Amino acid sequence: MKKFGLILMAFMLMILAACGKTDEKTPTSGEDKVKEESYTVTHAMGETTIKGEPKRIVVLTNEGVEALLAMGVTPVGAVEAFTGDTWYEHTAEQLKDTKPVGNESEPSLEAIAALKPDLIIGNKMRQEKVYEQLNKIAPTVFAETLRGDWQENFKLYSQAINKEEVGQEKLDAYNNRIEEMKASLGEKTQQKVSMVRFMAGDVRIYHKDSFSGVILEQLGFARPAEQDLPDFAEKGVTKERIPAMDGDIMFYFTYETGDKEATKLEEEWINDPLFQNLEVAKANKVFKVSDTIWNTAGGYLAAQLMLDDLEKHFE
Amino acid sequence: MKIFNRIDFTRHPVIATVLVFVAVGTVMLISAGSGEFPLSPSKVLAALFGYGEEFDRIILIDFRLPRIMMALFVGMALAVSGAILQGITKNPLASPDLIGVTAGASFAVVLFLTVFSDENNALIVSIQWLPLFAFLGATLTALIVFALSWKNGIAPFRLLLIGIAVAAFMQAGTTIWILMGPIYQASQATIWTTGSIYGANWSQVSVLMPWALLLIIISLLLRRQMNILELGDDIATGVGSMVQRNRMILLLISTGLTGVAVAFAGGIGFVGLLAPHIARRIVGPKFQSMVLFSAGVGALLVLIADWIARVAFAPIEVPAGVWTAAVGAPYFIFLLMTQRKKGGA
Amino acid sequence: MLHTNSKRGWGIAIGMTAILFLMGASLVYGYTDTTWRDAYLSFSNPSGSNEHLIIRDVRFPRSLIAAFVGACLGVSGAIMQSITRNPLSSPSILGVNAGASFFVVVGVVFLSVQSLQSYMWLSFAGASFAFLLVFLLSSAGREGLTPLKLTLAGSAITALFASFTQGLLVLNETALDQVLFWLAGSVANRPLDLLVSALPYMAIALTATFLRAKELNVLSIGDDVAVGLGQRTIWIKFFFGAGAVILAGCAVAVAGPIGFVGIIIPHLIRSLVGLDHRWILPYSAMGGAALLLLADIGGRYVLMPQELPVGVMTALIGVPFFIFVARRKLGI
Repeated sequence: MKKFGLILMAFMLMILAACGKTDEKTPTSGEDKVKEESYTVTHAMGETTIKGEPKRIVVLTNEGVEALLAMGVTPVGAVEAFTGDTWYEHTAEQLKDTKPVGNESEPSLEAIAALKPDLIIGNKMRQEKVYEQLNKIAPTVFAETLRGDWQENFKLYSQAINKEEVGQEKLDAYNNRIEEMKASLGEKTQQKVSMVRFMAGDVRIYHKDSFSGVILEQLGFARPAEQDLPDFAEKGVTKERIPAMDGDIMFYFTYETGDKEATKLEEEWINDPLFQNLEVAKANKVFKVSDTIWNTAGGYLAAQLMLDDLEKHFE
Repeated sequence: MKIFNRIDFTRHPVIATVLVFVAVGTVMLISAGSGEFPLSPSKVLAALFGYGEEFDRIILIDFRLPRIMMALFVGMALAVSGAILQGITKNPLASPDLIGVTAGASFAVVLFLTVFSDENNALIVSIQWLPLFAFLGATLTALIVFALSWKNGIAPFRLLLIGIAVAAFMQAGTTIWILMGPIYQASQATIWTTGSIYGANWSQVSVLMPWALLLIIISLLLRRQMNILELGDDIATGVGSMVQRNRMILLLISTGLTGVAVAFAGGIGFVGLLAPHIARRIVGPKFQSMVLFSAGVGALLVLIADWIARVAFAPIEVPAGVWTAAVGAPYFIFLLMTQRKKGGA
Repeated sequence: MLHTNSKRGWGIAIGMTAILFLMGASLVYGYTDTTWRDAYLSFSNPSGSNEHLIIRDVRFPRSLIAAFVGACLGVSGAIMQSITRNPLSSPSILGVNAGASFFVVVGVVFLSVQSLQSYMWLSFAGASFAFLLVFLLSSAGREGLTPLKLTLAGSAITALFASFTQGLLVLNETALDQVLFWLAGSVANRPLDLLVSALPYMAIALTATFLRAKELNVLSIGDDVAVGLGQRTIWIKFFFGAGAVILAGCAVAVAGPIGFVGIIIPHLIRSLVGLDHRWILPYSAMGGAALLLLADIGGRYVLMPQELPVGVMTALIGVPFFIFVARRKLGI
């Protein structure tokens, strides 16, 4: 049996040799360079000091990509969109030179490193596990979470790329537009807006802490009583809950992944007698809108496009 | 396989074991060298020993090596755990992931993600605690299974059946929590249940490695007890060994190994089922040679799966658990079919 | 215990009444408040109100589906337990459900299958494939088909297909809830058309197995005796095996994989009516229907307003039962 012991020993030595090397390998990220102006960002993982103006930025959430584009910065790398061919339609043109680095849930560390970024922007909810590793590639800033209101993260992103002023201008522009619309909409905001989403195998009724829910609230739109709730959505609804979809006007969106399952489901529900029985359906106030814009993309550009949609519907 | 048929490795288990670990080493080198930046073996070795470019070293030592090491130990742990369980139950279809250990860990993970979240869906504790929770879930579930199957001792028979049922129960529980929890955490939980080595780091490896090695070494030290247990209760009692006590100790080792593996890598399936099978075919049923050889096979399986996960669709990651199932499951069927002809399943 | 045939006959009548009552309850109880009177009026004098529509178009299909799927699972389980002579056999334990749902997912994802008929055929193919595989795997070796080997082979196959299904859906980037459906079946939101297209197969399989149920009695005495009595056991096994697979396949095509109905029901039924399969099969059909109706109604109240898939409910009820059977009945 000694032979086995020997094999085991040899094997362990091999491994130890490999591990022993690791501790000394903290990279020295160019400390000796000419002193540039530096700034410090406080974020979900602590404080990060960034030197100079970051030129090569990698973004690891889709709403982050939109925030950067809005501030006139094109990332060198970004995570792929949830639908569509690599990017969403509304950002594809601006991202044509951007390299995809994988999915939001598990972006490829090597693909990110390959881009030699000087700043990485990610999200604690998605990538907390690899924060230290990302930090070895470049200074990394994480937003805390993902939720309906994108403005919180937007502010952080503007600090991260040291464009707080541009960011504030953009936010002001957006919020001014909201105020103007609110004024011109006037009485119309008393209409109760209902929102429904169809996905393969699931139907949801959207509440206030969703991307589109937040925007509707900012505009001062009323919501049907059963949707006027501070959480995200009612998931997995059965047809029995169709009456909760009623309102003065309904926008619905369908998350289609390519196998036509969601579209099939949408048609089935829309044509259901219970659905046809809704006041909003009888009044012909049911509208299909883009799932990407109203829900999935969830960033600055999508918000603007959603406002465009709303303007059209409430002219 | 032909080469294995020609040489009777049951008589030369040492050679077979050396060969399989040479293969493991080769795969480790290949995996270390491939990715977004291909590194030649000489560059890999240079970076390993502290030479070469700094960038190469970051890529290799901070990104690739932790994954490779984790795949190595996860594979070995799952395989040895399966070998022990199959030995104790004298059943070739037993495996730790079938009797509820993995399902229990999944349940604990989903629980962790929902309980430790604030109203903004942000985790209020560091994600570094998640493996501990998974481990607790795995071991607690195993203890429940042991307790439920206790009836004047643990009959392997009852253990397996009750384990399967408890696994189903835990799955139902997981489904309920996923339905109740916020949607963002659902996708995190699914990736976890599929099993993934993504994002492994050295601090994880430094916990996993000593645990796995320690438990594997203890199980090798218990080889005599194991070989007696495999002969069956009658003979075992005749020899005078404390069957129940030994069985319990070995079960705990098996659970510990799976627990620590799933804690870091999630529900990577089929390794614990498959590796001991291949080992028994090639080096025979003797416990010590079988355990070492299946450790090698398990490591190979997970290493290759994670290599594919990382490289095949880059930059998109396809979790390693998808590949162990895709490769392991059909091979498992093939294995059973061909073994059947020899008359001993 | 129902010992005499007349008592058993009355039992059928009482059972059918109970099922009708449960179907009624399934129409009345749920998120929306409705009364038994609403249920009656929605059929006799439909007003087109939401309550009436919910009863007629949402709950009625659902109660029918639960009843038929439950009946299929109950009978399928009873047959499987009898031909494998194993008290732990059932469509879910033997991996038949998982096999069927995997084939359907492959069809949807790779072959863009849309028609209900092809759902059915895919489901049959998957169910048969899994059943054959498990049968072959577990009959290998010296001891032949032992309950343990069968159960293990089944759960290995289940794990295999479940991880395939999950992997496929992960690769396809489809919504998570779809994965949940294919891992734990549900009778909610299923179109009635699905049941209608499965109904002929269900009816044929149920009638055929009921009519020849006597042959199952001989089989359960043991192969040797059966051969001695001049029975061709292979054919009987094949005939009933096919029946059980078709029933399980139908159930999966309509409602996805639902576990544990096929294992609980036959046990309860055997202790109620004894060992004559001419009675066991119809009683199992009733028992399965009743259990699934109950589980479905219960699932509406656990997470109100969300619902628990009925497959999760049956697992929660079924597991303690399974453990009880494994500890007591097997005498191990």
